Amino acid sequence: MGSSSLLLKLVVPYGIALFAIAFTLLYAVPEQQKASFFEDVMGELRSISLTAANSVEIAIEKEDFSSLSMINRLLESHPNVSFAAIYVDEDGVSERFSIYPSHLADDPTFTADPERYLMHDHPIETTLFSGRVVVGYDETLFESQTRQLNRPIYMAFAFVLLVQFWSYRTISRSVVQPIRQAAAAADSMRAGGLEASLHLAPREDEIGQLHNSLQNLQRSLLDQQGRNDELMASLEERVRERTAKLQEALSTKDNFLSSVSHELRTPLHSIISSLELQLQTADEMNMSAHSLEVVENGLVAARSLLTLINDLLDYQKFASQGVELRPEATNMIELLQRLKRVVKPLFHSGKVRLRIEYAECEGLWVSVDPQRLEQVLVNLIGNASKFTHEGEVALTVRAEVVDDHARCTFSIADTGIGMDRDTIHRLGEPFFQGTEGYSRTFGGTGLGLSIVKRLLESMESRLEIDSVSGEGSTFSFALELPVAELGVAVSDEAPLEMALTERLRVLYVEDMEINQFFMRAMAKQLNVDLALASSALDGYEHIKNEAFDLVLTDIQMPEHDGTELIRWVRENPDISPNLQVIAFTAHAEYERVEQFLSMGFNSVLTKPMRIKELRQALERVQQQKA
Amino acid sequence: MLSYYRTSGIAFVMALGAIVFSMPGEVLGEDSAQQKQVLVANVDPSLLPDSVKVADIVRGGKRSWSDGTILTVVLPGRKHPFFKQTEKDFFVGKGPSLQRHWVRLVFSGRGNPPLYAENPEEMCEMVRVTRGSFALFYGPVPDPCQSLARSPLPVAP
Repeated sequence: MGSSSLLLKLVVPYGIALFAIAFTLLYAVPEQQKASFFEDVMGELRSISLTAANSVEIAIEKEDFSSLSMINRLLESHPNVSFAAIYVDEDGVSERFSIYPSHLADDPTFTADPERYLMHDHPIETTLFSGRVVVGYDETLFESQTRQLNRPIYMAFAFVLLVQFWSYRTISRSVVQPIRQAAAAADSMRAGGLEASLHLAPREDEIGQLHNSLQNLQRSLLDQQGRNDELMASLEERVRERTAKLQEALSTKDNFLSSVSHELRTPLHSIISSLELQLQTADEMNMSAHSLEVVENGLVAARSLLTLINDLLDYQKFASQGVELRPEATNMIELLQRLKRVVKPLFHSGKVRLRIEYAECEGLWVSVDPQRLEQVLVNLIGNASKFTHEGEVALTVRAEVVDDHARCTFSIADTGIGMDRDTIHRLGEPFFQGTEGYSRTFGGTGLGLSIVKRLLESMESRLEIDSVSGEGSTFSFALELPVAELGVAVSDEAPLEMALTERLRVLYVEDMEINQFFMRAMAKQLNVDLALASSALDGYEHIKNEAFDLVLTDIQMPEHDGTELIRWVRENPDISPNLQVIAFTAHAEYERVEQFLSMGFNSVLTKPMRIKELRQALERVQQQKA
Repeated sequence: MLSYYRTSGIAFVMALGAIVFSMPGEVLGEDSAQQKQVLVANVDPSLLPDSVKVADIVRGGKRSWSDGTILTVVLPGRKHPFFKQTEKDFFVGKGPSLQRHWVRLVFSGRGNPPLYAENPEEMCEMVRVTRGSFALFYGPVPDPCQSLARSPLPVAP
């Protein structure tokens, strides 16, 4: 029963009424009755004492005992008189002369005690004696008679109690319980569904009307629910259809992007490889300065196109799938050294200097996704170098270790053209490149900073930009990184410009002749003993029959692709499991690279591949072989 | 004149002596020692009490006859010639003891209320008309009561 129960609310007025009735019937009225009865008794005693005194006087003075005998009968029959006595004053002493009833005269313990009797006396003056008549009434008898008088009042109170209980019970049964039933029915509808049985007893009164209304409401709701269910089913079916279409469209889009990426990278590989080869052989070919400049410009444009393709792929992937971080124990110094190697070509002109400073980073291992952090830093340093004509780009890294966490603050400051406030506010919007002049002057897609912001958000950080137009910009962010247990500082990068002292035997499995052409040219440059296979089966036969230091295989080939080749190689017990096999593919997506590694490839090289990357791969093989 | 009265007196005494000496002995003793008491009651003669119980009746000690008839005592009032004698014979006490006795008795409910008569005739009449009544006469009983049960009694103390 809640505190807002009707019954509880009834208890207060019922209690007050009961208290008032109890006070009236058990105290006030009985007291009034008692007082009234007392007055009656005293009045009777007064009257009887007067009559008795007169009767005695008549009996003595007129010698007529008739009135005295009447008094005698009156006393005998009167219920409110316990005794009547004549006291005679003689010689200054009052002595009892006679008493009615007569047996009291023989009772030595009897005294007209005012504590025990209600009494009244009346004087007598006769020729025989003077004295008084005293009439008394036993107080216990008085109390007893008072109780008898009050008995109907007590019975009335009992009746009132009974009526109150009856009315309370009636209200409880006829009003409160049915209302609770109705509430329980509504609750059961809410908890058990609209089909829940309401358990409402049929009634003819207003409560019955309420119950009928509830049942009608239930029926109405059931009908409505049925219609809603049909509508919902129809909507769900339409949503399913639309979702399927959407997923199909998304899948088509992903496949399309993947295919476009692949199809763009493949010729881009040829273009970049061709231009790089031309640059490598410029001296041998006595290329003019103008031709050299044309080749260099073509190479820059091709690399810009590659960056654009990579950015587009990343952006669409983040937009559709979000950023998936793969944290691993990373040595901060190694990460910075690798970064320096990657961005070093951006500063080859010498007009802009790269400066990397760090504090408290020595020996610091943190749990972070190194590729994504590197991607952020490369993007920011690339942007800084792009908008800085002279001066420097400075990367500052400060680490602050507290307990098991390191707060690493990265700051990239340049002495470039800077930005106004509006441009700063809009930075990070997809495809925003500042004013049209910026776009024309510096190129790019405007996706780099957008990708950086998404990556930092995924690392629970945000990019802070401080810039003064014409003076330079500072991009900074802070990462809260868990300190990782000490790992083994083994760089996956071979030292730069390591001499290839040994002529390595390499098998290249590729179905496209143009790619075979460029691989031959690069192999010649790197003094590699190259064998070629134009299909997976052909390559497998070479592997089974010849010894190679390294196998490079394309993935997408007719009939059997590179993944089948690696499966055959790794499942063949006659082929050494130490054979280095590198997937060489235009599928640059992160997931695909992971997939290839899990299949048994030792590493993955993506198209377009620069001759430097091939050299590094060969150097690692040579190192492992040694 | 004086001698006449003295002579007449002597003659009266002598005559009275002659009468006394001429009467029977027992009658002489009664009449001369005290007045004759006669009990008169309006009841069956067989119910009349003996001499011992007379005093008890006069004092209100008996409330009914043996046949159940209520016993009412007719007492001499203060002006009645028998009053002092009755009080002297039956109610010994300080002051007017007869009335005090009966007031006490009737008030307490132990006795039936008595009737008071002012003279023997009235006393007789009251006895005659009141069934179960009782009176004590000193001397001759008036005629109307001659037919009632009566019993000459020696006076009880």
